[in-house]
Amino acid sequence: MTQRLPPQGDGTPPGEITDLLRAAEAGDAKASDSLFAAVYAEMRRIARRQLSASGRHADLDTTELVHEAYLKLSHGAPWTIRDRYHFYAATARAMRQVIVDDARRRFRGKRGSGQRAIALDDVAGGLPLSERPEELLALDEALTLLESEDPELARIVEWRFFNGLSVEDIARTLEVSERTVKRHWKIARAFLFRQLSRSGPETPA
Amino acid sequence: MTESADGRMREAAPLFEELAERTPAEAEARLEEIRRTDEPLADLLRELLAAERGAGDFLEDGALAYASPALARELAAPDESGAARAGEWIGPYVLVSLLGRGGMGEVWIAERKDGQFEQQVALKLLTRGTDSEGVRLRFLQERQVLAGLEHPHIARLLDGGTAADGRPYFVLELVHGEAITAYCRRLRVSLEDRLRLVATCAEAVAAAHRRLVVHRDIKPSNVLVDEQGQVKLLDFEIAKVLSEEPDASLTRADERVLTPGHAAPEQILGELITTATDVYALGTVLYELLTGSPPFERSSASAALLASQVENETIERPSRAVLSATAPDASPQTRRDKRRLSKRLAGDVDAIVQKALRREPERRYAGAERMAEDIRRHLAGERVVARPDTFGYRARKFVRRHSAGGAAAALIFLSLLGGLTAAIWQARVASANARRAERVQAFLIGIFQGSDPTHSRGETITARQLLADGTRRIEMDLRSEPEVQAALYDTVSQIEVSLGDLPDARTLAERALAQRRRLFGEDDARTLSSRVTLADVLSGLGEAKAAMRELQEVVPKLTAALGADHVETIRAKEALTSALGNNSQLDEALAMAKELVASRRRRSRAPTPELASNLALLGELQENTSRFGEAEKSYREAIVIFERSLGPNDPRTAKAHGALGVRSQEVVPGGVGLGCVC
Repeated sequence: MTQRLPPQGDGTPPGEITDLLRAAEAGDAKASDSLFAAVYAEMRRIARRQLSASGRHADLDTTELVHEAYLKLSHGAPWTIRDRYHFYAATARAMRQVIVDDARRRFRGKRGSGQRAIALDDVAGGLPLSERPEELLALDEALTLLESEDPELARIVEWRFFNGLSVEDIARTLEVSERTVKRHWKIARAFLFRQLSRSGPETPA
Repeated sequence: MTESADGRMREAAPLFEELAERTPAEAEARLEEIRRTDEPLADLLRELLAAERGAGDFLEDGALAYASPALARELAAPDESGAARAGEWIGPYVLVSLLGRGGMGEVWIAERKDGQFEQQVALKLLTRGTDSEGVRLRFLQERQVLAGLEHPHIARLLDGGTAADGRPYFVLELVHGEAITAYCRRLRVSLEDRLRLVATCAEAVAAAHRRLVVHRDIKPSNVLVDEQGQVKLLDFEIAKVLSEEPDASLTRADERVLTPGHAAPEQILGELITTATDVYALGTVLYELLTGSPPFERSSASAALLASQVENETIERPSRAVLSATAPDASPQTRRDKRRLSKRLAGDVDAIVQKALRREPERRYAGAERMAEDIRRHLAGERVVARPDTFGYRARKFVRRHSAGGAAAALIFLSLLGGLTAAIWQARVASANARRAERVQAFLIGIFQGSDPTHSRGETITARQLLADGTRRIEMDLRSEPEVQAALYDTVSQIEVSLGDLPDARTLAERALAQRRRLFGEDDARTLSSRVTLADVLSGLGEAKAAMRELQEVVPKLTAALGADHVETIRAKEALTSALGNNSQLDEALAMAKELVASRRRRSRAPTPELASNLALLGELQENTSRFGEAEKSYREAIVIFERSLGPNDPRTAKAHGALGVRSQEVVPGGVGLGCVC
C-alpha cells in the first residue's frame, strides 16, 4: 500500500498493520496477537496525549481513542470492511482485557479473593462505576455467556461498550441496518442486565 | 429458572423484538400464547422485557467509566522504550499489570492461559533495549540460581523461557505479601516474633548459601510476609553464584547496583563479596525491625561520598537507639516503655545485631545459619555466641599480649588473615558446598580461641605453640577437606619460614605439595605454588642449589599459568632472586630483581611496601654488582615509600636507611621471606 503521509516515528509501519489485519482475518492467531499489541500501543499513545491535554482521567474518551487509533494506523489509506472489522475486534479485545484486568486486580484488593458479590444494588447507592470493579467482572462474565448464546449480539456490546463505536459505525462495518444494530443492542443489554440482576443461580433478584 | 438462557437467545431475539414493539397488554397476551407451548422461553422473554424496562442507562457510559484512575494513569504513563505492555503475550502467559521495574527487567503479574488452569504468577522479563550481553548473562544466571533453590521461604521458580522476540523471562511464584517492616508495623508484631521472622529469613538465606548463592540485595522490600505470616525471600536479581574461576567471581561494587541503606561496607568499598555480605544485610533488616529505623543514614549522592560515609560510620546499639528514637514502630510511647524495650534489647539482642553488622566481614557471623542459630538460641533463653566478640576480641588480645615479641605475632596475625581470605576463597572455589568456607573460617577463629587465656587456662601461648596447635587441628579437623587442608599447610609453612622454624616449615610444605600434586596434578598453579613454598624452605636450610634449580623451573611455568604479575608468580620471583643471590649468580639475580620490581609496578599503580622491599633488594644487588648510582636510586625510592606507608620508625624504613647510609657490603641475607620481612 503506498503512503503519502510523512513517516510516523512511533507508529507501526502502515504496510505492517494491514498485513496483520489480513493475516488475522485468515485466522492466524499470532498475527492476531501482534495486531492486538500494535493496536494497544497506539491506543495508549493516544490516551496519553488526551490525558496530558486535559489532566483528568475522566476526559479519556473511548470513542475518540478508537477513532484516532483507526486514523493513525490506517495512515489515511482506505481499509476494506473486513480490515475494519478485524481492527475493531482488536481494539475491543484490547480495551476489554485491560479494563477487566484492572477490575480484577482491584476486586482482589477489595475482597481478598474468591467471594463474588454483584453490586447492581449499589446503583441506587450512587457508588461511582469506577468503585464497582465487581460489577464489571460480572459484566465480563455475562458477556462471555452471551457470546456462547449469540456471538452477533455479544459483538455489538463489545464494540459499543468497550470501543465506544456509534450505531452507524457498527452498522456499516457489520453490513447490517442501523435499526438491526439498535434492536440487537437492546436485547443484548437486557440479557446482560438480567444476568447482573441475579445474585446467584438459586435466588433471582 | 436457570442462570443462563439455556442457549435460547437466538430464538428469543426475534420474539423479544416483536414484544418490545407492542403495548404492554398486547405483549402480555402474546406471552401467554407462547407460554402454552414453551414455558421456559416465555419466562426468559418476560425476564428480558423486565430487564429492558429496568436497565435505565445501564452500559450507556462505556467501559472506561469502570476503569480505575490508576488504570487511566497506566494507559497514559510514559511508554518506556521497549517496556512490555499489559495484554502482551509472553510464551503461554499474558501480562496483566506491572509490579515493578528493576535494574535489568520488569516484573509483571501475569496469568497463564493455556486452557487448563489459570494461575497468577510473577513474570520477570528483561527490558528491551537493555539486553546487552552482560545483562542478559546475569539474567540467565539468576534463572540458573533460582532453579537450584527449592525452599519454602524463597519465592519459587515456576518456569522460564524466551519470549518471541528473544528476551529471556522467568516465572516466579507470586507472593501476596508486604515488606517485613510494614507487616510488623501494621500488625504490631511482638519483639519475639520479629526475631523469629528474621531467623526464618536467615535460614532461607543460609539455604541459598549452601547452594553457593549470595543474595547481595537483602532489604525489607525483598523480604515479604504473606497473608499466612510466612516469610518469603524475593529477588535474586543480583545474586551471584560463588563458583567457577575466582577472577570471574571476584565481584567489585562498581559494576553493580546496590541499595545504599542495606549494602555491606565491602559492597560499597568494592571489596570481596562473601556470604558475610548477606549477614550484614540481614543485620540491617533486624536493626530496623527492632528500632524502627535503619542503622545509619547514607546518602547516595556519589560513590566517593558513600565510601567515606561507610568508612566513618558508627552504629548505635539497638538498646540505645530505641531510647533516642522519635517514633519507633514498636512504639514505646512512654518513656517507661522505651526503657523497658531498651532493657530487653541490651545484652544478647544488641550483641546479635552488632555481630551481624561488623565492619569486617570475618568478624560477623560465619554465615546466615550461625545468625539464625544465635537468634533461636536467644529466643530459647540460651547463651548466644555473639557475646563476647570472639574473633576480633581475641585477635586484639592476642596481638596486645604479644606486643613485646611484637612483629612476629603481628605478622602471624596478618598472615593468618591473609591466609584466611585465601583459604576461604579457595574453599569456595574448590568446593561444591559453602559450608566448607564456614568450616575453614570457624577453624581459623578456633586457633585464636586457643590462644585466649579464657580458653587455655591462662597460659601464655607463644606464636610457635599457636602454630603447632593450628597444625594439629588442620590435620585432625580438615581431614575431609584435603584441598583446604593443603592450602592451610602451605600458608602455615610460609609463616614458619618467616619465624625461622625451618624443619617444621619443610614438613608442612612437603605435605602441601604432595597433597596438591595428588589432587590437582603437576601443572596446576596451586601445585606450582607449593613448589615455590618448598623451594623457599630449602633455600633457608642451605640447599641453595636445589632451591635455585627448582625455582628456575617453576617461575616460567607459573608465569605461563597465571601471568607475569600474578601475586604467586611474584612470590616465586622473589624467592628465585634470593636463591640466585645465595648461589652468587649476581647478574641473574639482578635481572630477576628488575623483573620483580617491574611486575610490582604493573600490579599496583600506587607504591606499596612490597614494592619498597623489592626495591631495597634490587638496591642490594646493584650495590653488590658495583652499580652504586643505581643502588642509591633504588634505596632512596624504597625509603620514600616506606616512610610514607609505614612511617619513619618502622624497622623496614630504618633498615633501608641503614643500607643507604652504610652501603653495607653484605650479600643479600637469609634468603627467605624477603618480600615480607626486612
